[in-house]
Amino acid sequence: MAFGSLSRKDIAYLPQQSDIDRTFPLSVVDLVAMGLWSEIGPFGRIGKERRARVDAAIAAVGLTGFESRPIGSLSGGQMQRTLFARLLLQDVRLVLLDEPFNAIDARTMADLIGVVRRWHGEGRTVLAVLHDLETVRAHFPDTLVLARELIAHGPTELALTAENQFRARQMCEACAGPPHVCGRSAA
Amino acid sequence: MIWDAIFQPFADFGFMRRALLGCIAVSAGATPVGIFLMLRRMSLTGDAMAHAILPGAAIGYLVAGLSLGAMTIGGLIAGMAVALASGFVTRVTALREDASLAAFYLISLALGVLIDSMRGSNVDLMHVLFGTVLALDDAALILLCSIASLSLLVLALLFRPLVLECADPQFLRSVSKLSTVTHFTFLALVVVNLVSGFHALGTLMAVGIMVLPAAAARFWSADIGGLIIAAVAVAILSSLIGLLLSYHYSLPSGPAIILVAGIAYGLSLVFGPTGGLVMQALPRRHLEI
Repeated sequence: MAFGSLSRKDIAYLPQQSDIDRTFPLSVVDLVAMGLWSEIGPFGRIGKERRARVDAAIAAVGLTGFESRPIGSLSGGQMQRTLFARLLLQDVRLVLLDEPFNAIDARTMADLIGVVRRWHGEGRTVLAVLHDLETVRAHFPDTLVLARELIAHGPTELALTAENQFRARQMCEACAGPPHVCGRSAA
Repeated sequence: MIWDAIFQPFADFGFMRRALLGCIAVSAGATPVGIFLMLRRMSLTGDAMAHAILPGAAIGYLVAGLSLGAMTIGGLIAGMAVALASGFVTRVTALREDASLAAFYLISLALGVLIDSMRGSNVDLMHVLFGTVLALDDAALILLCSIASLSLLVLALLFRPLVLECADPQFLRSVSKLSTVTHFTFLALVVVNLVSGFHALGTLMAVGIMVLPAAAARFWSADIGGLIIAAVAVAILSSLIGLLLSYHYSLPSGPAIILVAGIAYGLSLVFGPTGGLVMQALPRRHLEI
């Protein structure tokens, strides 16, 4: 893969199912502060100034007051907020989100979309995998429609046309048996 | 009375003082490593590694008799070889870490018993398995204390990446290249501490002082610093009480120490404030009206 001018430090990735060990004795502030890794590395100190930025990130996702909660006691939505706060501190040019709003309550989703819009406003690139087309229409200016192959891409209102959606749905129809490369029937 | 029971043995006998110092060194070095083993759900890995050390120690014994240096180096080489081999197999094949480790340590253990029985009687094997805490000489004490110091130092340097490697390995891999280094350095720490532990408590009992206090500490604290302090305290107290019991009732000292640690674990399990059985049974209100 070619990343062009991007390096490891410029990309942050939030997996759909993070393999965080929720029983591990870490607090919200511990986990969020690790977003500073590219600055502090394994030995750097988290001084007053950095601690203030950690608190600001926690406030930005609406978790003020939860700083010292163990991560094991958080709900799914609170955990997702925590991970977004860590992304905020990573301060990257490209944010990759895999189904970030899955199984998340509406209020959390609204707050986190606010964070995504803030990134967009700051000139960062946010690439999110989403199935909820309403969310895409409402909040994401550009869309890649993928269903086995690239169906369409471009500004959302041009890419998400009824015709493209129909083609995508056809491609998504269930195939029996193990995953395989589908042939294209003459249409 | 109290003097007789607790202080007299240490005041009168040098070997008791040496045994206590050796146990404190092993407690300070091995127990924090045990905490991370527990947090990574690798407590049984400690046990497997302890068995893996045996052939190395046995070869050292075969070559040089009951020599501290030879058995230490042999144990280190065997332990590291098993750690690296199973880690390698896990990272390049579909076999999970538990299975590959089990395969290698069983091979290693069988080899160890075989080599050990090639020379001398089973008494020698018992020495390696159960240790000789009451016969620690100067060289052994210096070795134990050096290993404990080294282990604490490395753990301090490795602390942040190790916590991340345990809690969120995916994230650590995404921000840094330290993941693999951290994993293998940690396994090396396990091996080094087990080798140090087997001089005092034997290969089997060394795992006990690593794992039991850690498991007990889980019921006393909910953060990593507290866990480490609680575990080291449990380990040192168990060593002290175990040594005294072994002195007063002529029990083998290694098993006595580990059994006391086991009792500490049992008590913590029942009475510990964080998640102990009693606390779980008490009804807790979430809302005061």
